[in-house]
Amino acid sequence: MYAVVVAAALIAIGLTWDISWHRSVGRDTFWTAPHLVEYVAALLVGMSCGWLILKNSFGGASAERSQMVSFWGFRGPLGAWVCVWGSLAMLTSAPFDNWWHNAYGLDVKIVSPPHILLLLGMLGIVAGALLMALAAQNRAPAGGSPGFAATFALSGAILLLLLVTATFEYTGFPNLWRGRLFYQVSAAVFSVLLAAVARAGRLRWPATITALLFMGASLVLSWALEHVPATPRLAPINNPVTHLVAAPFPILLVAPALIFDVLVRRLGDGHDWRLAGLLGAGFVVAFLAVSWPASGFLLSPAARNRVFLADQWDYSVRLGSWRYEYWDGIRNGRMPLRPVLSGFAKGLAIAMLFGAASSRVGLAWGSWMRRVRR
Amino acid sequence: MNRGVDRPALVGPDARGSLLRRAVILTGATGLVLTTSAHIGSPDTWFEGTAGPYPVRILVRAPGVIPGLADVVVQVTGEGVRAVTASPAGYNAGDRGIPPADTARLVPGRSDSWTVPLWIMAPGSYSVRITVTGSRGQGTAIVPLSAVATRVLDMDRRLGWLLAGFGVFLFVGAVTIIGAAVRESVLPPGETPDPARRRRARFAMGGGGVFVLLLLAGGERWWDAVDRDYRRGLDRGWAAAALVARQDGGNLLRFTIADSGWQGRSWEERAASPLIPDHGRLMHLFLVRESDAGAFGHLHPVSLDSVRFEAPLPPLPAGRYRVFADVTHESGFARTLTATVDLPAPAPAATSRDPDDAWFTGPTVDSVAPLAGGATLVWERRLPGLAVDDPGALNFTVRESDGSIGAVEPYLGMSGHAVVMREDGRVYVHLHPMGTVSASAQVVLRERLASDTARGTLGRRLTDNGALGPLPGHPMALEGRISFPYAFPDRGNYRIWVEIRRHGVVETAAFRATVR
Repeated sequence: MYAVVVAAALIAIGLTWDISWHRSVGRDTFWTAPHLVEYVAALLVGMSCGWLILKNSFGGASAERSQMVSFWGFRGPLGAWVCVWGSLAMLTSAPFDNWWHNAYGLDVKIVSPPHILLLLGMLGIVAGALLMALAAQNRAPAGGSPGFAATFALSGAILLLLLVTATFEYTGFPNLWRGRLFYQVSAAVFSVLLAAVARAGRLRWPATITALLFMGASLVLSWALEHVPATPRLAPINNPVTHLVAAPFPILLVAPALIFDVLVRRLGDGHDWRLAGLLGAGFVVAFLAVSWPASGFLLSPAARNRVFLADQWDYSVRLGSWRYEYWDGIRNGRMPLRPVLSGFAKGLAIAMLFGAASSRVGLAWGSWMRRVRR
Repeated sequence: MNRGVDRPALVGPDARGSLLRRAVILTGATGLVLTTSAHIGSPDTWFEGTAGPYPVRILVRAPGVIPGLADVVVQVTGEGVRAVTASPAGYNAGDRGIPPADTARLVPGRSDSWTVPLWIMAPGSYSVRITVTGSRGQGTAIVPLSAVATRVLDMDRRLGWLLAGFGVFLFVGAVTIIGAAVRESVLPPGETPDPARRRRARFAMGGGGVFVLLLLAGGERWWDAVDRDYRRGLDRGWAAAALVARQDGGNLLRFTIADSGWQGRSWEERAASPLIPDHGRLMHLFLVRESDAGAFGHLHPVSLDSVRFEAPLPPLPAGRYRVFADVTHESGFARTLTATVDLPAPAPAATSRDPDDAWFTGPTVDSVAPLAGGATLVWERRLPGLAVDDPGALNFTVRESDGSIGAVEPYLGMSGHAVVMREDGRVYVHLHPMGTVSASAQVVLRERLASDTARGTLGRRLTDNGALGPLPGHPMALEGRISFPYAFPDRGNYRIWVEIRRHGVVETAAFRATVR
């Protein structure tokens, strides 16, 4: 289980590094260090889970075997199956993606069909790690499982990091934090995980701790990456950077996470529809309350340093005043638009609906996760 | 923002591996090849010239897919070469925007040829800078490259089956996991699932399967949309039209650039920068009779405005003609426009023409073409025959009637011009001894200053100071041996027209060849 959690962490690190690589160096083959980290992690997961499954299918103590699920005649923990699926999906995506780039050219987009398959694979591995930690947490007697509960929170944080990375183009830059789209995408994507963690975690503040772990990991990665020297290797270079371009300051998910923990504990079970509605509204209100002022700070000169990570841009973009303006969305790379406030309230209402629906799914998922034992 | 110069709107530039690139190409994936801008059906760029003290012949093999890898092959004549490096510079990126140069490797088995792959990330005009270092010092050659996306790679059959196999496995795996999750995952250790649970698991598997299939269907539509977008961004020939008008007893050929990319009140609104003269002419227009390629003309229409061009017609026989018009943009981007035109019978009174216009209706030969005064132009063909991608096939010698080698005079700034066309018109290229590149593209890429930001300023400055005039900025051999660096890109029956000037008169010779 710990091997899988380590591999999941490696995948998240590799992915963050990889994106930073593409934003700074550009030049790419399959054999760059970040790719190797990702795929070695995938192999590690595939092999360790495969071994676990083989061991339990053809031997192993019957007490252990009884904690497994059967699958085409083999037996293994559910998390291991999800991990194996994830690593296979990652390995499949490599030749697919490669062909894609040869057919349509190298793209800067994170969201493309082969990348989605890769991301699903990564999500599978991390979700598998989460499930394995969860089953261990749930089998342990109540109150006696801080280690497993912490591992669960850690896996949740890694999963959150992947989701944030996947939606980077819609949520990543502080310039977007005053737009409708930012709240809609965030509410739809992150509520499900925060709600599930809030319900299934056995720590005192499971969602809050998960969000803090995510923000901490993201910051540490960015602070480390921006100290790595790098030179762009592809023309045209419109912004000659000298070090790896780090991700901007992480989104402030800790605020909605805190609200989620409070609300989920207050209302308890049995009112999930009402609870989901409150969570949707709470997410947007709490997120708005912190993101709005924070974006103002992050776009100010005071944030343009290595601590707050503002004002770092890809080697290929032409710098301009758009760097310090608010955007309504990103299409085809970085396309700043005029600040749009009209319809903002309506946009937020839609975000709340997304958040509520997403939270409802998350609560159901969390209730199931609370009972997973194999 | 930042609409690039002369680039078709194309999806933005990230990146991922090229592990299987070679493998996919070698296993016979076929590309959808459409026409390209710089020439028709002949995507590679050839250059012959010097890099400082070193004579070089350079081939830039177009990537076809953009962003993608272009292969550069540099052949250096002479001893003492230590290193060859190459880097692509985008027209608009400035000196700081040139990535560190890549060092070329020796081609296996050769001591004079070097090769290096270069990433071309966006369509547009580039100068590929080739630097040769050796015992005679260092020298750089600038090769203009008009980079366009021309194709989409089809999926190799084996790769397709492999991916489909993995896909099916992943689908079945996902559905099985859903089933296992519902059936057993929440049971305490040791318990076996009861029939109700098993039934629920089967329902969940069915529902999950449908859900995943719906996701896949969505993915398919998405893929189609990306594919459509990409194909829309592929280079297409610009729309153009040609027609014949009567004037003062003679016939005029009117040529119009009708493309939407060339519309707009100001240059900033247009998708491309203004035209600049190449060999002193804004447009080089070639006419080839469609039925048998037996009649050929080379005209220099003058511009009436930025879209309309006009030239008096020479006495070519009536019939339907293919029209190829070569222009060069201020960015160095070279473009060929195509059209067809029906020519009437020649008018009795021909109007005055550009003295450098030329036309030809004489015999097409295999290797020895007659010139005036009993002289001949001999194509030094090698045995056994012509092959695709075989360089160095186009060598010609002028022989006087007594068998000695004759001299030539500069014609439009070159010792000779050649037009290569496959008989179906799907391959067309205009060659000089310096290769496929436009001479003035090389000048603008070399002379551009950081202050030349407004469109038109660079072209005007270079036209005013004569840098884009008909006289070449480089020495050329005028003895009667002329060779054109080129390799035939595809099989088929070809025509080659070679134009030279002797004793003040432009003479044309027509050759035919089959490439296997």
